[in-house]
Amino acid sequence: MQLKPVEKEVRVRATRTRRQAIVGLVGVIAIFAAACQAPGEEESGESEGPITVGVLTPTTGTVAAAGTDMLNGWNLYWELNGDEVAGRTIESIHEDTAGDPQTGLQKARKLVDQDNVQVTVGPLLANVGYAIAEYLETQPDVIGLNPVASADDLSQRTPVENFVRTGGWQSSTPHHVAGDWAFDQGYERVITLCQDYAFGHEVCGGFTNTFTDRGGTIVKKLWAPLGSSDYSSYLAQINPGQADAVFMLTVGADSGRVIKQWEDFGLKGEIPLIAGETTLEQSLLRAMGDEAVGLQSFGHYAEGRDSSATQDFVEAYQEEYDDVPSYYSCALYTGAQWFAQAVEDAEGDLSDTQAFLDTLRSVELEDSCFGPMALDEHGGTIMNVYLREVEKDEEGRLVNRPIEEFNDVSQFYWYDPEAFLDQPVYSREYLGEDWPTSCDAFAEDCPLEE
Amino acid sequence: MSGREFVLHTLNGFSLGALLFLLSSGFQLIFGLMRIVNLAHGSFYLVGGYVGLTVLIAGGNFWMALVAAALAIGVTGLIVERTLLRRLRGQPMPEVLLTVGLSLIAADLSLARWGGDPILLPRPELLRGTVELGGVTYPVFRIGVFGLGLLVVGLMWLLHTRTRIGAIVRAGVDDREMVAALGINVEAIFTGAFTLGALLAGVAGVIGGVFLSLYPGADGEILLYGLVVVILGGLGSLPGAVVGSLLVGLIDAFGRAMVPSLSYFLLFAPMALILIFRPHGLFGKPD
Amino acid sequence: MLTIERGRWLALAVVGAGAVALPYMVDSFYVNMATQALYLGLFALSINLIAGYGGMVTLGQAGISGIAGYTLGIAATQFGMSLGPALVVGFLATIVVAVVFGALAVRTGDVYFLMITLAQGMIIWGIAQRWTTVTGGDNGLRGIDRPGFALEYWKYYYFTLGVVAVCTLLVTLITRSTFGLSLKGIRESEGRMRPLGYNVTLHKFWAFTIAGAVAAIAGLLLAMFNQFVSPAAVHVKASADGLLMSILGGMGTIAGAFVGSSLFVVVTNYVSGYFDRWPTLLGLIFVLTILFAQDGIVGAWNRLVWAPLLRRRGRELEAERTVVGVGGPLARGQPVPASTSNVDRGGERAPVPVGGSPASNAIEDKVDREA
Repeated sequence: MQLKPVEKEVRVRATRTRRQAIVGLVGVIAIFAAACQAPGEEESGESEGPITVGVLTPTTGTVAAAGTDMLNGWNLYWELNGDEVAGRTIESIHEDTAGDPQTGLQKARKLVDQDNVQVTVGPLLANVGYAIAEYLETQPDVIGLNPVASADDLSQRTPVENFVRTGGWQSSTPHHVAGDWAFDQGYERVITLCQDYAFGHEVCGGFTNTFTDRGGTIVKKLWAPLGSSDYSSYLAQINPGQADAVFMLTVGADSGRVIKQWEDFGLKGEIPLIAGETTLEQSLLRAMGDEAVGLQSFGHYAEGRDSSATQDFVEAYQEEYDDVPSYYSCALYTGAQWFAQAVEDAEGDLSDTQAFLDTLRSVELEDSCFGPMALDEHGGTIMNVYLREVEKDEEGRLVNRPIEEFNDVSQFYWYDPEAFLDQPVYSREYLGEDWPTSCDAFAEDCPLEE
Repeated sequence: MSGREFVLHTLNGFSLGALLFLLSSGFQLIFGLMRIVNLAHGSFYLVGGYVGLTVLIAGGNFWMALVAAALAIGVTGLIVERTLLRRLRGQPMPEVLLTVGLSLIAADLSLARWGGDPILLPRPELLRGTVELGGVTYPVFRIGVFGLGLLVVGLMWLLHTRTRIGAIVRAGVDDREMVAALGINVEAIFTGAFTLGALLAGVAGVIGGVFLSLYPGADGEILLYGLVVVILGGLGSLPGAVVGSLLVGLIDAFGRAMVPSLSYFLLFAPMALILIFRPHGLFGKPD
Repeated sequence: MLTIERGRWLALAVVGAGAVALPYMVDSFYVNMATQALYLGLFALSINLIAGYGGMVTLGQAGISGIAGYTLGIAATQFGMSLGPALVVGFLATIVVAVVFGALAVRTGDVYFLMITLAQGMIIWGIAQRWTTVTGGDNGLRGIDRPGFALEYWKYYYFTLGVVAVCTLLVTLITRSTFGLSLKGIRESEGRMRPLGYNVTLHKFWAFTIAGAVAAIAGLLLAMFNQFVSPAAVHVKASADGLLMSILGGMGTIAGAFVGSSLFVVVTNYVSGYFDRWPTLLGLIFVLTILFAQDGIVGAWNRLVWAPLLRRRGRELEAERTVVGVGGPLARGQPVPASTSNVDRGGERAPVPVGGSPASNAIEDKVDREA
């Protein structure tokens, strides 16, 4: 029989491949045989010697600036206060999460597996935070400090036992205050413009929920995807005649654009702007100009706060890094302060993870760069909220000066915790506009309109 | 949609389109002549913006920043073409991949040098303030960007129709082998075109720094828009770049306003349609 | 006597034994790194199938691979499916997408193919990022389980090793089949294969679909390893990373994909701890590979060590087939010396260099001998 050339080639190869297939099969069987026997497991953390802390912040990628601020804040604390607490040295190992959950998870694994850290601190973004929290759930001997990632549910519906808010906050907390406050100013119709992802939903939900409780109406909801190159299309839809004020929440590079364009399109001075925590954050003010002066926002951190805890921190930070510290720097500085306090309280003994987590949760800071702080029984922070206004300081830099202070704000604001937790977490679909319908859902006074 | 909003969205579409044209015309020139898909074009843009920033910090004004960025990125393009791309001449894939590699390096080094803070460049004195146009308040700067876009369209048109480079580009688009057969020594022209393309990207970077701000990742975002422009318009075609830029600018402006959650797809849906029914774009010609 | 064949088997056996013994030699960090190198290697292999064997360079493969992870995640978290059926659904959904994308993309060549796959990848990224109610948007989807028998890191490593070994074996068989050989022929010279009666477009379509299936497996392994999926997994950067791995290791070779992925994992996981500018390092490696070693590490090894060895034993034909082709499979045809290059010699009309290229030679050899 005359074979076609290629077929013959194949037949010659076929015997060879068959042999290879058998060898391959044997290999696979060997793999499964080996899989039946466990390799040695590693030991968990120690109770003497240095404590190694893995610092997870993004220092490359789109959120690198904030991540660097975080790292600086962490390092500054140990530099100022010494790295020895209750007889134990604190050693830090930094890993770059690149602002990406997948990388963050890999780096967390690396810190735990290879560097044998007993404590991790970070990360920045909520999505990375969720990824790391989930991983820490499988590593009950590792203590996770979470001073930044603000996703509401980390201390509400799905808390993780060993991932503790030490200096952190909840996305909706300062904005519950903002909604209540806005109605007090006589604003009844508000347009919201928030970033279209989980953080933006939670922030806008916080504002909307309390504002509508008081009887206010959200007349238009604008959602801008993260990384919108141009905000003019959204701003074009804000007609000063339609509303009494605008509530806005943006993050990162988006903030610079929207604030500039707010002035460009003649809205500044035309209609009051109420901004959220991150929109006029110090790390972004550095890149802004006069367009930001006079704008007001709500947040936990005000670098212009007149208290020695804040001012000493700001001065030391400036000395070291030649920049006004941002919220992110303050958060990690506070995280370090919180952790040091807990190690002190536990007299340096971290051998019992559960006991140390309890100590960590019972820490109360009399003052910090944020102000006084403590945790509620769900692990949410109770702290001050400031109404801040952007000013130029003597050196011409923009800073947030607090003009009103709200003390000891809880993540549940005026709601009854149980009723609040029965609701879903804020999302585009649920902003709390129609909730609560009855006064039962409130802890004490009922703000609902009669 | 009110009349006011319509006017605003149209103006926004035109000004974004003009910026995109600055970027994509260089991209088109390089592709039209050399058949190189320059995926480092976004990096040229971003680094150009950062060079402008450095000049502004050193006390220069906006126009100095613009010129410095144009020169710096032009020279960078020259060096890249002479020392790297020339080694790979005639191998389309390695050429593209080389530009991918360069963009990775540029992104990381920019982060190291200029940090990650988003930066808005200040606009020139001449173009500050706002004007009343069709009953809406509109920033003068954006109108200036549109004017600059028109100017570059004119210059590129002259380049295409009145110069030797233009003749070769047009001939090359029609029949690449013919140009090769003519035995024209095109090395110098290649270098010139690549340099000019890079230079335009540098200019776009400074404009974009005022318009959209500079930050890590801006390179990829603007490149994406640029790619949509050239796929819509057709690779290597100047009219394609003009029409594509305006289309993308307008789709972006109106899409965001009318169907914000779908705006991303509004940009890609026409692109997908074009790819299915006219893979070489509205004005492009098949190889 | 140690023949070439025996040497090859011995090397394979050593590598295999090393892979099996790994968890007993190093700690969990390195085992996890190896797991990553394995599924990333499989991912690079899928790119290799399209680019190295099919001659079409893609920048959208992470999108296809990510469809598998996302479908698995959606099936498991939103529809409460158990892992087994969810894996099947994820795999099948990816095949469907690969068929559709392939049908659109393979009609064009070269640069257009690259841009279309880039656009396809961006569309998937857009869906992952923007369709938040289904994909979780920026937060991604959490709650993907590993198989019950592979929960611990080392068990999952063995699981991955087994799956990747089987897939690699299958891919090897495919590349050595009639189909694989004609695919190589097409890559080397489309113009010659058409007149020989080959349906070039159909071959490319099948290559794209098979690569989609391989990428799907890699995507499922990745999702189960991380136990979540996020938009970063389908981003263009992930596609570019995969391309980097397969070029670095050596396009058109099976081992290259794994060599490339191992290097990549070492740089991103290990070197990054000591050197902040590791993305620059990766970029530099990429650029240098493209400039000076387009056939990658394994390709260079074949060219410089293996082929001369075969030649010395008088096995010219095999030696020639081992070498992927000077300049690597990236270049359609041989690189043109600068002095003779005019406008452009790339693309389909590139003249076939004298002597032809290895794969088409192999086929011609056969034709000659039969005649």
